Amino acid sequence: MPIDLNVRIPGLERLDEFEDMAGRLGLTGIAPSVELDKPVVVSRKGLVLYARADLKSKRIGSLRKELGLLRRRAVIVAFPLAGVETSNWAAEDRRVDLLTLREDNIGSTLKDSTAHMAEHSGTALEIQFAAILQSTGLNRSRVLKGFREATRTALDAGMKVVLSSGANHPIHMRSPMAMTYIGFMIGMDRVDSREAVFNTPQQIIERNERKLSSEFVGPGVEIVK
Amino acid sequence: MKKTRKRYLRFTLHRNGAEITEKQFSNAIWSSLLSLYGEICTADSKFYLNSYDAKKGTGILQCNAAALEKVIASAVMINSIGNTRVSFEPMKTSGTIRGLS
Repeated sequence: MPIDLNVRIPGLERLDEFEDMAGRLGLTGIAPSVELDKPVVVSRKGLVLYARADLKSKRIGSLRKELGLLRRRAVIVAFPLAGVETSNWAAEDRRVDLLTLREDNIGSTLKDSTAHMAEHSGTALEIQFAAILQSTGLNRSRVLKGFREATRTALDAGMKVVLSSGANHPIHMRSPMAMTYIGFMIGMDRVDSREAVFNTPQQIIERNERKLSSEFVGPGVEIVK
Repeated sequence: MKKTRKRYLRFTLHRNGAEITEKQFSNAIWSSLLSLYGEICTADSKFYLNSYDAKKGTGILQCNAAALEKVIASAVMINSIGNTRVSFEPMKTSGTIRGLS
C-alpha cells in the first residue's frame, strides 16, 4: 500500500486539499507535518493520516530528550542528516525511523559507517524529492548528485530507502507509479524503487503501530490474551 | 535500417489552474527530456504525443522502448507549465495502443 511519509501541509485548514490530491493519486495514507490528535487518524475521505515528528535539536543530549517526548505521540520519527556524531546517534537508535535528506541538508553526506549502523537498527534513508522538482539546471544537478550518492551508499550497506514527496502544495505530490520513476532517476533499479515506494513505508508503519499498541512491552515481548 | 520497438503510455496530467494545450505539454516534455538526459537521448527517444484531452488532462504518448523510462521520468519532473502547476501520473504502458484499453 503506497503511503507518502512526508507531506508538509502549511496548516490544518489546508488538510482537505492534500487529502483530495492523495485520493486522486491513489495513495492510501500520508504522514502530514501538522500535529494530529492521535498517532493514527482515519479522515472522513478514508485516507489514513499518520503523525510524524521531525527531530530539531542539534546536540545528542537534547535529541534524546526530544525523542523521548515524541516517540509515543508519532508513528514516524525522522532525523535530518547532519553532522557525523548526531547522524550516527540517530542511525543507531532504534526509535528513529528515518534519516532524512532534503533540500536544506543536501550537502550532508551519508557515510558508509552510518549506513551500516542504520541497517542494523532498521533505520531507513528518506529521500524527499520536492528538492528535485523545485530546482532547475545546475542546482538540480547538485541535488541529484547528493541524492544519488546517498542512495548508492544506503543500498550498498543494505539500508532501506524510502521515497517521499515533502510536498508543501498538493500539486507537488506524485502518484506511487510516478515516484518509482523518480527512484530510477536517483539510481535505483526497478525492484529497489518499488520497494521504496510500496513496501518499506508500509513496513515501518506496521512496525511502529505494533510498538504503539498497549500489548507491546519490548522488542519480541508482547502481551498475548 | 533496423526498426525500433515502440512503447505507448496512457497518462493523466493533474493541474491546478488553466488548461494546458497539446503543444504546451509536448514542448514541456521535450524541454524536460533535453535538460535531464541531453540532446542525443532526446533525439533517440522518438517521443510523440498521440492523443491528449486538454480538459480531462488524459492522453497517450509514444516513444522508443529503450527511452521509455527516461521519457516518463522527464514528464514526472515537470512542476509547472506556464503559470499552471502540474503533476504527471503515468497510468499504463503497452507495446500497442490497443493494449492500453
